[in-house]
Amino acid sequence: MLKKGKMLGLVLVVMLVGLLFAGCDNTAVADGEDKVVKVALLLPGNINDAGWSQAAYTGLMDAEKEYDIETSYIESVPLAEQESTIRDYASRGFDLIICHGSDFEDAITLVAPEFPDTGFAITNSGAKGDNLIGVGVQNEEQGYMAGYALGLVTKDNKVGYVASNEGYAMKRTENGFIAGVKASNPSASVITAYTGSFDDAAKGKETALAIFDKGVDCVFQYAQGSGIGVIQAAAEKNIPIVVTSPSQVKIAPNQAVLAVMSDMKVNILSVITSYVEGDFGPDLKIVGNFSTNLYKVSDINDKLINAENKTKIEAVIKDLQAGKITFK
Amino acid sequence: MEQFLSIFTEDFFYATIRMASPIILAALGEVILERAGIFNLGIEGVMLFGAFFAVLGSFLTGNAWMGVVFALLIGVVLGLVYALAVVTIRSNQAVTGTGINILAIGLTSLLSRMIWGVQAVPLTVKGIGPLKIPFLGDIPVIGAVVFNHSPLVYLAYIMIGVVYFILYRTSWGLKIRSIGEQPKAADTMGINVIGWKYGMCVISSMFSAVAGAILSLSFMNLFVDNMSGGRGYMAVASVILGQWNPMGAALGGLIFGAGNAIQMRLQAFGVPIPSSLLLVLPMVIALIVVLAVRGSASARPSALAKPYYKE
Repeated sequence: MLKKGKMLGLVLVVMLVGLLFAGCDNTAVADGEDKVVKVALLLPGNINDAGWSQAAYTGLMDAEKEYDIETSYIESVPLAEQESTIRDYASRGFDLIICHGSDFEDAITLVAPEFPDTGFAITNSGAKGDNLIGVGVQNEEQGYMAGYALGLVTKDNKVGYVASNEGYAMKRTENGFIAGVKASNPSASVITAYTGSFDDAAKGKETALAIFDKGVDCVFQYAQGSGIGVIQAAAEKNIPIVVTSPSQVKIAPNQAVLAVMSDMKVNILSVITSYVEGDFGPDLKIVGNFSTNLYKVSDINDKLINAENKTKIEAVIKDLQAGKITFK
Repeated sequence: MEQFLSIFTEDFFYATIRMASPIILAALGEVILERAGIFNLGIEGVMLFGAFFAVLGSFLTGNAWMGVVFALLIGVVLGLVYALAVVTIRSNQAVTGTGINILAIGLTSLLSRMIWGVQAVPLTVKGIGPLKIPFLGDIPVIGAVVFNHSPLVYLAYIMIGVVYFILYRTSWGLKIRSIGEQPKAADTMGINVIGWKYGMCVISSMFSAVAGAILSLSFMNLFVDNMSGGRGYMAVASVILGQWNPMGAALGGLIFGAGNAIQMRLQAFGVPIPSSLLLVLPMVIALIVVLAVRGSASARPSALAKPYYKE
């Protein structure tokens, strides 16, 4: 009796785990031709996070429409499973494996040499190898733009920055943000808060409310899924906010100062294009910034930004596009 | 020090009460269940299911309260599934609970994409916003801090008293507690042990599902993948921290809520402490409290997590 019960329990658990993978791993069906390039994308977050991971997913989908490729993606890959997930894709015969974000750097540099015939790419990283390319992203520029705009908006000279965790991209964005605030308003101070989560929207909202309580009167959200809560908090408390996509503007149409978009799909698309067209190799260099159209600004809100400041912001956009503002 | 004290504003207490409420509600459900000798690690997943179905219900009917009804229904279903697994089949409770958590992350993400697709911004539905209680809400300071919350938040606090009363002042409570301590003796007394265990699984699961609805309908008005964010685990910890007493469990929930509210405001000071350390502050506080209360005799139900065999 007991044994039977245990077996049933085991079967149940296996079924549950199976369901999980059914939910995450979406492999497009191929006709079994050998020629089709198989591309895999590993994401740190969800494809509907309205930000970082979603942009990459969109790039993958665009590439699928454009080229005769077979794609697969996997979401929310935990740190502990990065290595095994990459290895799994490589041994299943994928030709190009793209990891989205510097978090994957250790895992991908370890696995890449084991599969010399497979192409590996990692975004937001300077990693390099015979079959591995790092796609540079100038995060500071995005932060700089947001900081510059909020420096002009703040009345009490207290500007907020809410990010998900203290990762490489978030820290670089923060550095750019602080530089941007100082450039437009040297007397303003920056208050930084981390939500510690990529998807806990409620916690994002509470974190934003907490810094508003401490006198922050405008904010930039760079907190992925938890950032949706930050935008809702700003909308509720009528706090001007800089967001990272035009769709986020819709959550707080009256409070959104502007959107500094990072069109990550550009980077994903250019990696896939270079692979399909045979340019992929150790000498390939892809960098994303304002000048390569990775970053764009949209939805400047005339009610929050007057004509004089708008001219200033447009001048900064031009300078960034021309590469006149540099970071170390 | 003066700067530290400036944390404790009206807004701080308001945020503490609000943030603690889903943890408290889930912890109360877990107290009832553990008192009946079963523990459920899967309440994290039940919460996530509740959060999702609450949004789905509000989306389909246009009425946020129907969302709560949907959450209650999924709570019943998950409670029955759990009871079937651990009471009838007698599978390992920790493993089954973990299975529910994994299932919840996968299935709610999958369903939300099947129903709403991958949207640029999560779909918003009608939520259950704050309701100022007449007269009481006008009391200076206290009115704004205590009597201006969402009805679901009040519900969490009202349930503390209800659960306490049922457990300690009614014959039902006596039956539940005897099942958790001496199920064989309870059976001999004519108590339907299996039936009560099924009932407690369902009720506690309903508590957690509504706790999820607090997240998705009261705090927000939308569903985000994995939005339960570990609150279910905090609820399980609160039960141990509160020594299987509803009051204690509620206190545990408040500690997590206050710890988070403090942590968020400390970050706002720009204190030179790494943010990752501040983020674990609520857990550190909980750990200290657990060590402090450990000295007293444990109130852990004797038959907790042991499968029951009727002879």
